[in-house]
Amino acid sequence: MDMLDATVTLASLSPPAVDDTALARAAAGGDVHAFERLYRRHAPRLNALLWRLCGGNAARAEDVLQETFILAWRKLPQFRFESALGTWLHRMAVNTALMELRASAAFESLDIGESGMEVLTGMADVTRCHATGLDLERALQTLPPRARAVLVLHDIEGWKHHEIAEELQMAVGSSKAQLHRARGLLRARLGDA
Amino acid sequence: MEENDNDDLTRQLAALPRERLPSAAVWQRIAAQLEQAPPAPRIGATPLPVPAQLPRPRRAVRRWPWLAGAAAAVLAFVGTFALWQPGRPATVAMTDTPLQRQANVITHEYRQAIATIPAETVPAELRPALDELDASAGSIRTAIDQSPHAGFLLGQLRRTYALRLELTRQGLAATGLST
Repeated sequence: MDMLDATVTLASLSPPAVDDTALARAAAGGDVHAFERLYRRHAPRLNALLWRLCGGNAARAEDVLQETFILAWRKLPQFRFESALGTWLHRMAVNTALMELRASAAFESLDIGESGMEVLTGMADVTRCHATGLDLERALQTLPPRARAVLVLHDIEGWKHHEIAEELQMAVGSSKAQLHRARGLLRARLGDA
Repeated sequence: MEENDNDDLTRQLAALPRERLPSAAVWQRIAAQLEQAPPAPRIGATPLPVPAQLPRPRRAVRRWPWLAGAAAAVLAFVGTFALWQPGRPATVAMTDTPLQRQANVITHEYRQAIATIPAETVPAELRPALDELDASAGSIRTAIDQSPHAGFLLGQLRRTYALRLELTRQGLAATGLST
């Protein structure tokens, strides 16, 4: 099965009967069942984010997802409920993914322009009758990791530049520049530049 | 710099699916690790010892990529379980529990199946993986003896044996032989 086919939308599901706060408090006390419910509730969203951050590498994304929830289990007792649990988990997932990605030299490379264009140029043409979303996902996977992270967090996840800059340990201006270049690379690939 | 926030591209990006179901193995691996990684104490409480660093799931097997997910799940699970010390001595049962009896049946059936395959026909390049799966099955059997009521171990044992048999059959198929 194409990995892209596994991406599903669950927006139509009804609201949870038990809220995150109650489950998180129970899980912090060692209730594995409550923690599993939190996992079932949040894992699909986090997995989509991690899958994109990891360039469409499903196995790598699931490794990071696993590490994120193990970390969350350990840190839940310190969670102060000052933000939504989902937000807390998202940040933890992004942090974990970035630690993983930083291990790769490509992530730290600042040369996103030419190298990114070369990758895009070398990519096989996507049959145009495919869904636009599929084209877009594939084009996203070809972006340099850092530029892709900025674009995913900003344009898909809705983060602000100052949040991205803090998480990626870069200046706000760099975040904006990376986003600009990432969009340019995507447009070039999709043929609407 | 954000002049294009409302163009077609950004609208398409914002419309991409926001959810993607992870494989079932992810929760299984997490659940196995929760056993030995209790939640950290609340702030102000007496700190507990830091749990041991757990092995990470193994990565893909190049020639038999279909094995990667299953093998990673089994091996990661066994690796983590091997580190798990429940804090009580191993149960020395005079009589096997129902779970242990089932494990014995599964092991017996597996041994009968594997005995039909001549060991010398298995490709040498598969040997390390097969040995590791054998060791994994042994570790699970030990774990069952230590925790004779942990039902999930039975599933792990069954999957490990199934994986071992399937890998052996795939190896034979690759060499033109058949079981």
